[in-house]
Amino acid sequence: MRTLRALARTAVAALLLPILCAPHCFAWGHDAHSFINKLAGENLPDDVPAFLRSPEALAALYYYGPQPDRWRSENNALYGSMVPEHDIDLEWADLAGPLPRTRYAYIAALAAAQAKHPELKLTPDKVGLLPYSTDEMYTMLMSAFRDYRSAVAKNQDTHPVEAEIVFLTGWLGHYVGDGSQPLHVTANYNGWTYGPNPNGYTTDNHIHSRFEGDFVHNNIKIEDVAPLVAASKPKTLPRDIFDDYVTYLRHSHSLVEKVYQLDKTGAFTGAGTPEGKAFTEQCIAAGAIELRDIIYTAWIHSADPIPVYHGN
Amino acid sequence: MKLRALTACFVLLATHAFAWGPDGHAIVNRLAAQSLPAGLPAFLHTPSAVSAITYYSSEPDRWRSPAEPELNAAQAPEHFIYLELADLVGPLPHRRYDYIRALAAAQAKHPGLNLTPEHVGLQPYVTTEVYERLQAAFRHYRALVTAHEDTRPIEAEILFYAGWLGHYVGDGAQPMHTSVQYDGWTGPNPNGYITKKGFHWAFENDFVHAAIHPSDPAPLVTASKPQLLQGDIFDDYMAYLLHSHTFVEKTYQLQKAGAFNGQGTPAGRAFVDRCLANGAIELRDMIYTAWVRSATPAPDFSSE
Repeated sequence: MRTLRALARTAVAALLLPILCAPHCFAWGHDAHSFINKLAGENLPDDVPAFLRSPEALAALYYYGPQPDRWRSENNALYGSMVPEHDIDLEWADLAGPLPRTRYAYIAALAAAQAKHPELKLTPDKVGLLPYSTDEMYTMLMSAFRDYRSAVAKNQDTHPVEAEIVFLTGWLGHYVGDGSQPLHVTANYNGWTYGPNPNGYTTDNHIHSRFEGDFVHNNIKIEDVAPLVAASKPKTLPRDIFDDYVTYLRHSHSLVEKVYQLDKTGAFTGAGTPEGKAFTEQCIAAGAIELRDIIYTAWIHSADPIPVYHGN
Repeated sequence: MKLRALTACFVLLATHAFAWGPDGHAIVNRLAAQSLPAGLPAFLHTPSAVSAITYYSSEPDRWRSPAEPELNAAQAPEHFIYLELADLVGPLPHRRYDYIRALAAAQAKHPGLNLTPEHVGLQPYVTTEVYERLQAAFRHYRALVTAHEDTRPIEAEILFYAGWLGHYVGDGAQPMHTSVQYDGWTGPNPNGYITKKGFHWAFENDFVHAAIHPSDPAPLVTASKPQLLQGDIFDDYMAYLLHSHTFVEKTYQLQKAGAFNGQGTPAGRAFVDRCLANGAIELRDMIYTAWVRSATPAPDFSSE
């Protein structure tokens, strides 16, 4: 019987292995994404509908945190399309001028920049699309909130739209979380390979996963990050969050070299250092705060009437 | 209260003028959900699941307000593909950004045409991508069931994907969503087909709303035995779109005959029933295929 149980455990572990391992090497890893989503949900103001702050919703947000990384396993059409949604190499993107507001305008701007920089690869799937995936998800969430308000006003069944809101919030949280990981907004994504390296920062291709995956998994606890989020008062952003979100990404970008400096001191190796831990907690908290405020903004502005669409 | 009412009014109006209209999309999704094979997980067969999949059928059309131009601009081209223009790139690449690059290359050869992705459309790409999300979610559902973990979040996610997928599959069943003859005939018109804008919406919304009962296409769906799609999903879906495309001229012929006026003619109603049933059948079989293929272990993505 014991053998059978052991076999069953092994089988379950084997089945879950790709799921548990899949997020590593990308994004924040399972743990930080789940922390960011749950902390954002826990710190939503009271005027956000109760269903989104319920224990069930918080558990779902926690689960959905790593979800876009789980799609990478399909390794086909989806893989190619969704990978660039998680990051943006701002050094390359800025060659296209001020970031256009829409996805395909950005793609066109990159193509124009490519013509001026034939030595670089300025395709959208290389440079990244993070501000666009985030802004679009935010707007989808706001749309769903609007539908929720409408259904409540008409005493209609709100279960499908509630489930959708929780899911969209969790999905949005993934991209907002990615934006708080400095290595997701730079050409030095996984080793200092862009620009001069007089300080001898690592050029290996392990720093990304070492920092966001293994170090977080082994050393960061959600309860250590929670006070940092709770200390920040919820606020609404302008209804059009694009500029605010890009500012958030540029703040993350300002921390890129700090990641390499800390890594050089061993701050993310093994148990790391107190400074490495504090820095990582601050990044994760910044993601949770931005996500909380984006959700809150979507809720508040979902009350705004929208203009009538007159067709194509 | 006034603000709420006003908001509800705008929400309702914003859903108009797209795709099948709310009625056609709801028909496609509901019929697909109701005809899923018994081998799929029980939660998909519940009345609440059918209701949710039906509710989500029009969701992508709710993302098209001009007040939200970034989302509108990004996702509007997901609903259609002008196959006449897309074919200028040759066999369609299976990945979105390869297709966008191929369009840019074709643009250089055809400077007189607009071959941007937002003009030509991205229908097969979004559909294949949502299908793969559904397949991935089914895989995680299986793992969580085996591990006796909470499956409620993943079940909600699966229902959302199934409904979301249904919108695009439904769009693909509307012949005019696959053609430059999207809303009124353009170019040489020896047969004198309608050229006036507004036909698109009159066909897919007004006529469906006025003349098609939700149960009308049902016998066509139930007469079709669920089957697993074979080979590459993108290729299969392209074959489905190309089949829809063969009905573009038929749509205009029927319009010219008055088949979609008022309650329409038997031929007009039968044509629309067939289109909607094709959408429901394709959606049902895609969901079924995603479930069955989700039992196959995923490749190691880190190798890429």
